[in-house]
Amino acid sequence: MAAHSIRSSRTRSRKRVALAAAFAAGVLALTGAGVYAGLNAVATGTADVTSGTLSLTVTADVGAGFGQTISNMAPGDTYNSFVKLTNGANLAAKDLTLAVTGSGSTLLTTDGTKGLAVAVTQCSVAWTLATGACSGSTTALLASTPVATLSSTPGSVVSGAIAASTVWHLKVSVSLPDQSETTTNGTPPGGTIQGLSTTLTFTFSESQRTAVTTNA
Amino acid sequence: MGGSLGRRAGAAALAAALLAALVARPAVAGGTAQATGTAAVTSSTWSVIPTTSSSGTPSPGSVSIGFSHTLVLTTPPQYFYAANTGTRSLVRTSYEVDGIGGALLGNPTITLTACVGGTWNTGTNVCSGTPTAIGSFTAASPGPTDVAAAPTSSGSRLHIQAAVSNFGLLGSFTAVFSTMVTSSGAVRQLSGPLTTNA
Repeated sequence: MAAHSIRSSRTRSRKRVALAAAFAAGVLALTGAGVYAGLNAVATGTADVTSGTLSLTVTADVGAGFGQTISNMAPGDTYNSFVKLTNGANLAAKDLTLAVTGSGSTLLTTDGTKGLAVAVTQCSVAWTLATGACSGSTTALLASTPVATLSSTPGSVVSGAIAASTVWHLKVSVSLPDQSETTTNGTPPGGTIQGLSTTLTFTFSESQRTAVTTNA
Repeated sequence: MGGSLGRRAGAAALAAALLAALVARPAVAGGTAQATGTAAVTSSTWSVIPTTSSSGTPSPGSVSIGFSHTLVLTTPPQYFYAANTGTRSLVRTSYEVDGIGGALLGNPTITLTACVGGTWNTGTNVCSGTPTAIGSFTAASPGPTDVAAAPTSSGSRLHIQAAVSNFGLLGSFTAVFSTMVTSSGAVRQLSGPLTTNA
């Protein structure tokens, strides 16, 4: 009888210890969770961002534009092509330049005096093809410059800012400078400008507008 | 030792410069736009060759023709062509006659006359077109003489008569006929200049 009473008392004591431990663990868990939730507080906001697009295209304006064959040029001759240059897309630009390079290596493109030269003139409206005249106002964008120069140093066509969607009606003039060269009995002089050929590549380039910092 | 350090310092500076260039590059390359076009260009040729042949493409060079005179017998008029072998139309041509001389008590003179728009009948010395004077040449005045008589279009020929006079008593010589075409200068001999809008 006494032994049974002692075993029963020990069993109750163990249960109490287990309950106390469980309670303590629960209190610790609840307290810890509260602290953890407080360290993850979040505040949010949004901003829609799009990047601009810079685009430069050249197409025929009146006439055939670029891509033509200019044959049989003699000193003093000029060949005018009319192209439309567009600063499209939505980004403003700046500093339009023109580089002209030639295939092969002949005096047409390597001689700064006797070789080909290029000039660019703008008309406020489309040029008149038949006469090569401008019925609006003209602006000389690039004075006649040797290809020998433009191949290494692009010429400035527009200096400064260029608004988005700007369209230029351009007359691109290719000329062979007037020069005296005598052919005697069918034999041209040394270093002749005669009978040469090249393919010119015109490259208009512009830079994006100056980057801006906006506070808003 | 000092040289080694210097080389290392130089290499480090070069590496730093390259790194800076690589870092800066995208910002520049990404901010440009280009548009391109092309045009094939050829230059012309301008050339007149004297020749005794009425057809074909003559080789470059002058034409030599002999003249003689013995008391009353004189070489009759001789003929040659000025052939436009270039690709460009012409409005004028220059002519020169060298080698005139060799006469006793005379001053030989060669007179050139072109038959514009026709040809000379070498048997009757009659021009079927319009006889047009080119000029008279002597030993003292061989030319060149710039005249409007020219083989105008590419591939065309101008028929020219060469007649001798003032031979004196007797003598002989070989006249050398030359032609010249100049693109510019005091007188432009090429057609144009042309301005083309296309």
